[in-house]
Amino acid sequence: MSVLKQVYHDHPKTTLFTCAATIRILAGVLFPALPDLLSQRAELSTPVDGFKRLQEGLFLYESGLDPYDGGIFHQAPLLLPLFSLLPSPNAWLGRLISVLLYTILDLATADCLFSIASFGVAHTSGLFSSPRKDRSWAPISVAAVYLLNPFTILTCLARPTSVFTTFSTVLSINHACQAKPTTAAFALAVAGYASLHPLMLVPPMGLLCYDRLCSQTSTDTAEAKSVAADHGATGKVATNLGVQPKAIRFGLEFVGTFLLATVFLLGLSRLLLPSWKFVPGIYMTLLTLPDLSPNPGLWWYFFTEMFDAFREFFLGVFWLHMAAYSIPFCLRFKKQPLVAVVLMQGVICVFQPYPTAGDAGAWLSCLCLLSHLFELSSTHRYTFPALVALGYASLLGPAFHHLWIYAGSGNANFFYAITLVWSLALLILLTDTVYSALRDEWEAERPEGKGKEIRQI
Amino acid sequence: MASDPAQATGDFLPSEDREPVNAVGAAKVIQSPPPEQPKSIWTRRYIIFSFWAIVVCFGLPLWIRTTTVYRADLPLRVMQQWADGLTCQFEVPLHVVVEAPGVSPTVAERLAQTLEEYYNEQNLFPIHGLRVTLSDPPQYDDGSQTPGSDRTGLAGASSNTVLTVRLKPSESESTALSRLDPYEAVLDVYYSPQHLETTRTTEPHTRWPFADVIVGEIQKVFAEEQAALAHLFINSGSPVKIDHLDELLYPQRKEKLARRATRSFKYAPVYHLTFSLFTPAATPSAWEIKAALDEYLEPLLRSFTTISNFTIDTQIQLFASFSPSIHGPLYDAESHLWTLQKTDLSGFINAAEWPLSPSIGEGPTINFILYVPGERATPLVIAETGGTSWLIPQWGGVQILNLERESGDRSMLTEADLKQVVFTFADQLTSLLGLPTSPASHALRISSLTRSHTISLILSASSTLGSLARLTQKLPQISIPDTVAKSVDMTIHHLESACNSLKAGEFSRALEHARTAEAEAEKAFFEPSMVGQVYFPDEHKVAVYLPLLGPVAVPLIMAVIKEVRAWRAARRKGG
Repeated sequence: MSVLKQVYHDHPKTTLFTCAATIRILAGVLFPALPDLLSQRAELSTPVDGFKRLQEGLFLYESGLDPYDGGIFHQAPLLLPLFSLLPSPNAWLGRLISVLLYTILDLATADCLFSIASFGVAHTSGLFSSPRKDRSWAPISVAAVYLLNPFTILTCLARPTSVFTTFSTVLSINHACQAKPTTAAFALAVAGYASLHPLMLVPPMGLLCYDRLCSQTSTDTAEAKSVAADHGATGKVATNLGVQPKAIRFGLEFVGTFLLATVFLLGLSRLLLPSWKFVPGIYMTLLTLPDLSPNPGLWWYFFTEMFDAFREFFLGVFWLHMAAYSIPFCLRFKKQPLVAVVLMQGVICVFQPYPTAGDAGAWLSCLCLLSHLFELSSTHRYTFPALVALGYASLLGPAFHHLWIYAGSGNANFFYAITLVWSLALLILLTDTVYSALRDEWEAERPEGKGKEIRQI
Repeated sequence: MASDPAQATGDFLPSEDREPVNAVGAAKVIQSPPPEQPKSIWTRRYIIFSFWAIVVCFGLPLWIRTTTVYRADLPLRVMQQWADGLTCQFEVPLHVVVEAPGVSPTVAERLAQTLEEYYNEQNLFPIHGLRVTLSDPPQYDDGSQTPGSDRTGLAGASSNTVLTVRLKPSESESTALSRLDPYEAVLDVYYSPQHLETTRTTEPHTRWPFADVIVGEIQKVFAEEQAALAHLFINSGSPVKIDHLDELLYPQRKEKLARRATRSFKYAPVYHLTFSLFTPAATPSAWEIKAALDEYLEPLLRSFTTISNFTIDTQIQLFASFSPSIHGPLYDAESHLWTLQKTDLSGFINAAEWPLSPSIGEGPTINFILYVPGERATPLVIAETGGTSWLIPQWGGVQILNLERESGDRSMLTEADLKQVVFTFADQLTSLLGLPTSPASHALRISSLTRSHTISLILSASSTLGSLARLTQKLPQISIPDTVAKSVDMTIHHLESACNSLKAGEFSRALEHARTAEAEAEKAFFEPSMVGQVYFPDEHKVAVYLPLLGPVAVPLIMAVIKEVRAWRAARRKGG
């Protein structure tokens, strides 16, 4: 026992990662039917990322046909050669190997989160330093939340390809935190190429990267001037304005890299496939929502009921609504760019056309990067009811889905109502974080107001 | 998201610092909030602006693009004119050819003129106009043509000819006799020389009795058609005015025409004929229906080819039982007959169990049912009349065939057995197709039916055009796809052609055009993408937009109003 404790104290990260990998692989080995069962659940895989549909596309690809013919397959073409290297997942070995692949992805994502958390970007940026920075969680806890989260574990077994998007996004944040605009833009382009909506993360991600770049150059110059032990943010900015990279030029470079990378990825995909059909096959599916099979999102029910004449208009409204938050978040949280990124991720996770519980799990883990704000939201806001509602929805959701689709004793409204509760809970967490981040910023300016009741005027 | 960051950008205040609502006098005592920094004011303005920029730059064009109703241009004025009957003046010229071998050309010429003159002055129905011409050069003088030969005589008549009047000499009769050919459109008139003689001596103003007789015969030929057309014009609500209506449509004839209309099918270019043999027993299990139909029905169908086409299906259903709603045949001991009550006839068809499909492909199905009662229940007749066949209006015909008890082999119905059956079916078919019962010549009846169908189709297509025009004017929100505009153009084009062909006396071509016009008009009117929009008034759009866009719009608009107010207040304070 003491040996175990010793091991844990010495190598907590290794222990955590070993545990997480063991849980996933054991679940795959002990319950061989579980991955296939989970990959058919509407909560975990949708028409645009389901593992079963990937198999269909893979079969067409290996038979030399265009996988985007027939409107079944809507996933990124570059996944096809990767998965065609793996043995068929119908046999136990193939299934295990695919679970292993997704486990590795999960571990890589957790590693990225670990490194982001250890940079401390959330509470200390170039322009701002939170008075609560000592309250943030240890990086190992953030990684643990991701790895031991039931949503993530189930998603790992269900194997939707949205995991690749999640990984690329988190990787992009990691590179942005290291002030590497090129790799950050490339990773984000991979995510955008796979599922379109990460496009909306371009402004906040650029802001984050720019902020890190500024603070890095300022640290360098500060070190050169050997001005030590001065953590006053304003002083830093004042001394180093001249050395900072130009914002507009940086922005153009970042967006240019992103576009170039996207074009490169699309061109590469075209080389693999006989035609350009994959472009409408992937992106028009997300934009026009032809498949209305139920999922935990808000779109499917709305567009089932929508009059045909207004369908296109409301599709546009839904997409615009989602995109509209991107710039305002950047404007308001320019002092805390990571908050802007995480909030935008939250908006996408709730309002995207085909969300899954896996997206919510990944977002909740990213939310833990802002752990220094939890004190504020839990004392003043509704974190506890929201978390309870989340648990309630995740238990009742599958039950109602089963009642409606298989047992036939419920109807669509049961499941839709529970997806509303689910989305509401996520949104409450999101707005609470907005509140806490703003309040934190305000308290940094006016330390006398700490702990007092406030109201908006 | 209800609390968007634009709302959350307001400055926060500790609760002790906030102003009480009614603290007018005490306001100076309580510490007032520190003034907002210009930087945060501008951040707020940028945020509001960025939301509005998306609404205006993307939302507005999206709204205009996706909800603008596409309305193709329709020739509304022309359509309305067709519906009002202003475009096509109905005119049906009846070309009559006088064939007078053995009569001198001058006399024949004069006779033709007189006939046209007399007919048109007595005509009650101005739409019909008689054009009488002489047949092509009468070759009586070379003696090679015998007056009785039918074929060569008809060869001279053009295809537009409605009726041929053939003069035949007869020796003894003092009064002129006439006879209609039952198959061809030919009126044979037997004359004696003195009938023609009278013409030379009489004054121009006195009437020629022989011509009067012939005109009387021609009038008899077209009387029913005139009545039918008048009936059609009145019933279709067409604006065409008919004079002498009471003379044309006396009650008895009106009733007859109404009965014909209720019995007959709506006109269709293709009808499906289904002949079914039903028997409650295992026999007969075969019938030589194909041979019988080819032999006895085919000539009739062929005569209809200018009007409609037919497809034929046959089937046999053994062990077919009556529907439980009828009492079943009763045995009448006196006459040793099994009888069906008249009330049972309507329930005779067992719609639930007998496989009579309502429609095969496009076009209506006409069902003909031959019922062969089981050996035990033979003979089966209708109680009141003793008949064995009846007609079901707009559906088909039913016939009971009682096989002789002695006939040993019941398993097969031969062509001979079916001869009378097919004749009865043919008779029922002509009723169901609305073929007039007079005149006695079949060719004349067919041509009469062609004309009345043409006019009815033109009227129907015109009124459909009118309805479409009114609909598009009444509902400005309805979308009109290009296909509708194209169909309307086609309809108008074919209506014009039909009208012109009718005037030129080319009746089968007129029918063809009218048929296409009607089909196109129906296609335009029942365009599926329009039908859905008909029931979607403007008020409903509020219900579509408001539930989602209302809550989104309120914070956006309120933020702008607040900001403008604050800006004006600040300016006043500054100024």
